[in-house]
Amino acid sequence: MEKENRYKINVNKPVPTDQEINKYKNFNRVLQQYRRTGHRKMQPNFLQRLNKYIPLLILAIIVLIFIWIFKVVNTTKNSGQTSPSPKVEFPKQK
Amino acid sequence: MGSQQTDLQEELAIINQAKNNPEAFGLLYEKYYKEIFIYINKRIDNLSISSDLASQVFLKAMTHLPKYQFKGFPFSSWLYKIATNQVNQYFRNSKNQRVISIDDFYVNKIFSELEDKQDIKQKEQTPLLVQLLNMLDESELQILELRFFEEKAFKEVAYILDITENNAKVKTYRIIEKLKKVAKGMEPPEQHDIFSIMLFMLFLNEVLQTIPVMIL
Repeated sequence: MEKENRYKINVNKPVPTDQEINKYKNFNRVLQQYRRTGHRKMQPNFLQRLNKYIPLLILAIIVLIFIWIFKVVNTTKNSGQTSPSPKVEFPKQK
Repeated sequence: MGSQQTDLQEELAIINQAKNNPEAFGLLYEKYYKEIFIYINKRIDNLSISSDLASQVFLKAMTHLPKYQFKGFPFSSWLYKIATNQVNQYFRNSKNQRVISIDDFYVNKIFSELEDKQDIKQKEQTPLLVQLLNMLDESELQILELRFFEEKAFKEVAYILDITENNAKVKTYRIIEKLKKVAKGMEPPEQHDIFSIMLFMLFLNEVLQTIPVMIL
């Protein structure tokens, strides 16, 4: 049984001529594309560095929110218990 | 050697200039367009798609030029790296069949790596290589193409494919071994068999090391 070819294999296929290649060569077009899109894609260095730390920043914010919630819940619990219950003294029975 | 060093220095000066002045990139475009176009066309086999991809390669190079770091290779290595990724992405998106272009000169070169090359007639070399190429996976194929068809040094192959130099050497050695087996009319051993045994041994080693810790 013949195995199916994984790749299309060209043997001794001629290389395109200089004329054919030069037909597609156009630096001005690439330069125009660069001016249209290239600049927008570029980010300042500090933003590029910040990109790496964004997940860490989000994680830190989530942790801080949890700590804050935990603290708020704790203080409200404590504030409910802070007012001491009045002492009731019963007259001693003789 | 000296003139090569001077070329690299000159190229580096143009790159630094192009970082501030995009028009200066035109010199690099002129110098390498043909080379990159042919490299892509050998893998795509369509002039118009090759030209699109070549333009994309140069556009990406221009856009990411501030990130470019000189590693002692010509600027073309970086362009080859971008072109390789661009071609890979094209095949991932289009699901077309990959194209490999070979010619007799490079076939002879590959077979010259075999020790018992005199046993194989020149006529038989190309069908054998075709048989071998169909057995290789894409990463192996890229190494073979860069090493033998593009005649790149191992260091440069490693840089283009983002692997270590040793990895490139080992993989090339394996490809040559496969070719030897094909030439002798034997099926090459499945590579993943050896790997799975090695992985199993590593796993076993890890388990054996953790057992005393668990007991204690």
